[in-house]
Amino acid sequence: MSSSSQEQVNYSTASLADEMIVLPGLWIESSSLVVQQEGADLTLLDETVKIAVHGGETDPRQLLVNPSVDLMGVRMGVIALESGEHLLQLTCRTFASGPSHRLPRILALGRIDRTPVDAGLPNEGCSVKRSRGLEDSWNATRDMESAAPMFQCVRDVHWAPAMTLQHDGIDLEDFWQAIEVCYERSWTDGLPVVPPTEPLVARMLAAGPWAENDVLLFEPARNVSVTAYKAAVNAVMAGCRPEYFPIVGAALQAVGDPAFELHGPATSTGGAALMVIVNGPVRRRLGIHGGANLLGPGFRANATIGRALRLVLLNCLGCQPGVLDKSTQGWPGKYSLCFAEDEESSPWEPLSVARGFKPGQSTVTVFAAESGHNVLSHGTASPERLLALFADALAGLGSLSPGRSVIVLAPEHADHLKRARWNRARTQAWLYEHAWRSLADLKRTGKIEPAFFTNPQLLQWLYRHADGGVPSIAPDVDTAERVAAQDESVRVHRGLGPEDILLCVGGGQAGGHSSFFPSWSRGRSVPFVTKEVPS
Amino acid sequence: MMRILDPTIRAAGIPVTAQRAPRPAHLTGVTVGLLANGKSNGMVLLDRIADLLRERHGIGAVVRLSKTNASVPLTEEQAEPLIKRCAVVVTAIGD
Repeated sequence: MSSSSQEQVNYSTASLADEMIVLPGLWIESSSLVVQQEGADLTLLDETVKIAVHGGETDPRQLLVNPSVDLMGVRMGVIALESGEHLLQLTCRTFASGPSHRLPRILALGRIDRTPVDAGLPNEGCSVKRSRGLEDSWNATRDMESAAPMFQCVRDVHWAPAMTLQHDGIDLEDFWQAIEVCYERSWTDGLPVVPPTEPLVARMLAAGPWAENDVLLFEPARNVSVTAYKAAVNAVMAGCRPEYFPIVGAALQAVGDPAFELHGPATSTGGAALMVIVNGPVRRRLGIHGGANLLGPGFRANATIGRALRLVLLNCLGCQPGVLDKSTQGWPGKYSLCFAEDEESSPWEPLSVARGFKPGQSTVTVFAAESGHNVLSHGTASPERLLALFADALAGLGSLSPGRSVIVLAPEHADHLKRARWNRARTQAWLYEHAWRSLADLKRTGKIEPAFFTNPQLLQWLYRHADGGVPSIAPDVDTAERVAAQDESVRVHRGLGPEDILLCVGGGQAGGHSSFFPSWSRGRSVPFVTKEVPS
Repeated sequence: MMRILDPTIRAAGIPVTAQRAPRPAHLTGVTVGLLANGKSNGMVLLDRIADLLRERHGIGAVVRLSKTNASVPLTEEQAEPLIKRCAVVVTAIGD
């Protein structure tokens, strides 16, 4: 252990004030919280530990659902404690369930002098003085180690950190260490990230029309706002070029539209990906790919724009796998699922125009997508025969729901429709009409859950096309699996109408491979949302 | 040396001024709210919990409320019956 007893260390409020544990006679202060407590009690400690451990999350559920948090560096600024009892409580709460490698390497113990620092940052700053009291507290900790076994976990705490906190960043030795630190803190999707240095983030931010504190996405279930600044940090990490940032921002605004209800697809066991379809001149300008292998690897814009969204979910909305992202399986689209529509190969107006925007406007359209289903046909140019394959995929019982669908038509398939002069509306209508299964099939395969019979929306879906609509005596739990003769003739379609089937075009000029993406959720799921990309 | 910026969001902008409601000293005769989060079986679980609370602690009336959408928080207006009538609220997810 080495320390300089009067060493001055600057922290930003963003990283420090939210993370301090301050007990008797001291304060906790952040941009929106002021607590003054003369005699700290365990209730206060409980609350403050939550703030410290979970970076300011005040939702009491967070304590239960979050795994132990890496307290190194920014995660834990300063702990000022005046008695061993409180330290004992803190230690139990903080480290009880965590693996040893997540124990803090920087755990400051001591007093805090509240001194505002004008650091020119989004949040007000304050400074921390490592004082004599700090040394005393540290010694108290050491004294307790022999008495309380759980203090073994803080035995390795030292004052020679490999990195030093400044503002809301971390000083590091080199590039490789930066990459590793991002892994250690679970800031990545599993792939290495570009270390978000200040110059790179500044360039990213400057490429968009937003001020750094502009809120691009507000998530009401967590009460969290994602600012352009945080989006830019994550976009750098994802590998975006600065000129992609307007698309990243527009996509965040789209998934942040209240109608999109992001909390569901972001956290559900369904494991949806956030699909981003790009239209308009921005596709060519930025090289967003809509041709061969558009859903696969090889294209920086496609790979990094969608990834930036995923990193925002991960880092800003707490969607850590197994924590607030409860995907049963997830799927590779969750790394990135962004592509351009091949408008030039489309028989129809661009998707953006179909969605109400003007030709020449660049847009993003987002969708909460489950994994795609290949639709293979090399054997027919007949629209009906070809579309029957799509309808069959749409009607697959595994994903049958009242939700929406995305079809990415291969240019070859699109060309068959073009030659036959099938327009978009006719194609959608034909697909909807033919994408159905009988209520009897649904019952035989357990698709009808007892709870459906108390859900008016689901009942309306099931009996939407039945003679007489929902039966006057609605089926009950006992009839969920019992197939009645009339169930054979009740057609249950995918979605609620033709407009629920989004058609776009993309892929290589060769090959009869299209794809169908079902919506997240066994219910209605969330709508398509389209936003203009700012120029 | 190089410096990297923190991509995560902590307390910025989160209002944390809410105070904990006072804890009742006992549950006897206390009106208990049940809030299901909107998944299929949350209320099944909550009803059973209410039965047990009744048996063991003699709770009073029960106010049952199911969210219609698991993805969005309750509005203040929707929560009003719970806020006005209940000293204790139990919430559950059941899928």
